[in-house]
Amino acid sequence: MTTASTSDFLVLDGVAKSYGPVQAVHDVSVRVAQGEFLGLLGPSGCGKTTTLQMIAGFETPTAGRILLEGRELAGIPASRRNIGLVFQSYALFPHMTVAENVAFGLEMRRVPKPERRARVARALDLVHLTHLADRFPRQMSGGQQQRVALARALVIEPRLLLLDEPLSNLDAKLREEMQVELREVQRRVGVTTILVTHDQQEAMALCDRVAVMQGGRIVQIDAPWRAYDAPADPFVADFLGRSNRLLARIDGTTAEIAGHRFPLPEPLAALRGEVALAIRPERLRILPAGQPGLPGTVHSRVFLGGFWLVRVETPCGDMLVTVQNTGTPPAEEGAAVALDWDAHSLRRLEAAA
Amino acid sequence: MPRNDRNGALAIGFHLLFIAFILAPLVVVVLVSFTDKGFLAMPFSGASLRWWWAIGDNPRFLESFWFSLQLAFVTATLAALVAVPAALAIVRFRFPGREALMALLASPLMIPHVVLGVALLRFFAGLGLVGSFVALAAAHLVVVVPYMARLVTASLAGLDPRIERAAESLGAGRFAVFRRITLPLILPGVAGGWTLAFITSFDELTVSLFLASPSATPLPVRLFTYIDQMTDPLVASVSAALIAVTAVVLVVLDRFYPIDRLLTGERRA
Repeated sequence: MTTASTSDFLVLDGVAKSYGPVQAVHDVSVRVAQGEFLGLLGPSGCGKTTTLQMIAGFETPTAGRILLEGRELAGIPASRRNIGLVFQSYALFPHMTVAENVAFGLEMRRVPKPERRARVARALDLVHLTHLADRFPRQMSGGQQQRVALARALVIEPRLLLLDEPLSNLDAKLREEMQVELREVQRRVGVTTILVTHDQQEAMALCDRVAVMQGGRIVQIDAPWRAYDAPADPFVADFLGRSNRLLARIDGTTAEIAGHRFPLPEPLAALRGEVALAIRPERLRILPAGQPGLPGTVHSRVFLGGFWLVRVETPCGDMLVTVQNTGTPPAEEGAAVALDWDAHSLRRLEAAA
Repeated sequence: MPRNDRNGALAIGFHLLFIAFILAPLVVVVLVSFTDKGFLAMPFSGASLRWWWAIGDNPRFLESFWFSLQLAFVTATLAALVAVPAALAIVRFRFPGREALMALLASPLMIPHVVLGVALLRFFAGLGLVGSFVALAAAHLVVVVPYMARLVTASLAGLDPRIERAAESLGAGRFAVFRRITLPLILPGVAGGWTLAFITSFDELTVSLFLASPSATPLPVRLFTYIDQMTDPLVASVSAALIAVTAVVLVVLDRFYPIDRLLTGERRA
């Protein structure tokens, strides 16, 4: 037996899946390190769930290989892969109590009863549900049910933990709490984890790296903050949070945007001609009208607690600006303003369409 | 605002008439069984239990009763063994001939029982099995499978396949998933189907008429042929006894599992 290096704990090598003429996943290749938390992020229909199903063993790839700890998974049934699964719908066994649900995987492994009981107790303790061991799933809230599902998947000490939109059924506040808890549990157990989600905020909060998928391919794979700051293409820029687009004519070291000149950062200054640039809302500053910058009018402003979201009409389209809430509201609706930014905040959108 | 969910006088009147329409024949049969006359009469001018004692003097009715009971039990159980795997295949897999299989399972519903009876008579005559328990059970199986398949398919369709996948990922093989997860969760549907199949078989007359013989006579056939020859209140007392037995069974069943849910194959709330 060859033990793969820890950086190649899970390897997807040119994995593809087609259903008849429909190609759901094209040539996906990823290397996941041991203990890593990887996110598969993308809109519905991007192939992320199909990819997860192939790793779990419920779908067979039509091309490529999947290797776990250096061994190919093809031909090994889902029940023998020792991979934990958590679904969006919890998928708890409704006719079993919480403790029976968690014990199921151990029972299937013929773990002797006393040890089974101890491990179930430990798993329930991990997700803070010891007091609900004798409840049935239908008697519990969504968050509690999802924690049971997590304990059930972890108690078998899986080689890999797969999470399929695990928090999407929960309300916003609970989702945030569960994110923190999920991350903590994953760190403590140290299990290599793959999260499938369409929620970019969730992927960024939880994952060491995110693989952004579109149309069955991985478009970019990076640390969340790096993918956010340096999106590979307009799709990633848009998908990972909001982004404003600026059409610029570049000559020499300055960009001409809607008739105004702006300085350019080093790597962009080499470009020539019409170029699509992108800038994040939090990198824009609202200045009083007349100051140097891109002139505009405040179209609307929305208070979101920690910050304001301001929409400014400018000659090159509407720009979204987030303004930190410091106690004073930003410019009123209808006010004339100017938008300014630091040159290094500008990004070039590859293959700008 | 208070919602008006009371029934109007017209609705109540309609419901009462409807219930009377269903209950009246049963009430008449039960009343007639207590007459002391030698012909079908109401017991108002003289009541007795003579026709109830007469059941005991006619061992053929008891014989047929046990025969029907066994027949219904075997039929319903066989139907479950056929319908559960068929429903699993239909609901969980996509394969060529799937639609055809569904249509085949439902087809006996669309064929008049007289036609079925003639066809089955020809078939079993060829095999030399007419008048046997085997032939009757096989014929009843054809009649009850659609009900069974319908209920089991419905309860399987209501079962989230991810529950089964979760069990598989936890190390359960195909059979363990079925035994520990799928079967317990569709059990209400299977039990409902079994009960419906049992009742249908116990009640089946038309097809049975073609296949019965003196040594294999289900109760409905026995009653039918008896009425054909003579009409005395024994028919009423046998029927009343049947009603009583059925009522007791249903009440006991309802204790364990609410019947309205059983017959729709719904899972426990």
